Amino acid sequence: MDWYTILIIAHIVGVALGVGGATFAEVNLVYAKRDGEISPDENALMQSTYAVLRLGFFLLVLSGFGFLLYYRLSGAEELLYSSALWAKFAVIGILSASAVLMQLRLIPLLWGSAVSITSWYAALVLGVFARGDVNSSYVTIFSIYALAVVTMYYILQLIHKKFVPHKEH
Amino acid sequence: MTAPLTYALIAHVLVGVLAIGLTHLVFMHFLRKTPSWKYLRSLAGWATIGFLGSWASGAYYYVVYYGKAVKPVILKGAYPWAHQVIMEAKEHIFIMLPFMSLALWFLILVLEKQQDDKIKKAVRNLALTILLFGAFIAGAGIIISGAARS
Repeated sequence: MDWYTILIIAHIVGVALGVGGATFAEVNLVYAKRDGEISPDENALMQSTYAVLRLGFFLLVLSGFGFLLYYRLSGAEELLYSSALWAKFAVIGILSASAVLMQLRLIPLLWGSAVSITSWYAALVLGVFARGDVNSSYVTIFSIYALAVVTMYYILQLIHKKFVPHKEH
Repeated sequence: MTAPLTYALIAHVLVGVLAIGLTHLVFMHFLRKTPSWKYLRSLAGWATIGFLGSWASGAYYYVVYYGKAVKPVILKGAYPWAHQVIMEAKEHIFIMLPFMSLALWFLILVLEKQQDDKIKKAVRNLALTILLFGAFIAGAGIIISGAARS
């Protein structure tokens, strides 16, 4: 097996763990909050999901840099000019920053979740685009991403309104 | 490029990214109310070793190969600022990183023995600064690689 194949496998595993982890993190959160409080078991399940997310992120970033090295060493630097690739860098940067901001409680949980889920799915889609013939500009790709984040926020708000009971004061 | 130079470049990038990842973990762990100091110390120690490893392998690549073979290509290419601005900034910031990381490890050692909220906040900010510098250096590396197209 050559290095390129190993990188592709590591990258796909990273994205799969991230997309699955982000989806299940939200599903678990909604399930856990349905009865109004999060039990220790539910908390443990969510923590394990976050661990999977972190592992996925780590694999994604490490294999991503592996690809960049591969392009550099094989003289294929022109691939670094792909707008989809740069949009993916930005999305991964936003994903990383949102994780920090969520931990610092500087952004609302629902916005953090919307950014996390959308970013992971965007990383998946952009990964496919970066290897294909899609020539959309950086601004177009990023505008669609921003719109997707806002849409995801309202979808999550609807889901939370439907399934999570509101505390009465 | 010879095999040792190729390995040096690979080590520079991957070990550096690992060190940034470990510093990210240090910062995130610092946000907890009751961090595990032993775990933090271990993470910061490995991050320092990683930064030193990336530093040494990057220095070897830079001194032996970059100046002679890559820098002239960038300066003649469409993006000479990739060397003139980005690389110059990168190499100067990178000089500080292993020492900042070593200071982080040492301060965690201090916090482990004597807990103080003000010091804890300052050390957390140091971890964030290292993380941001590391992210800049990683991004700068991508830009420099892209500009080395002949």
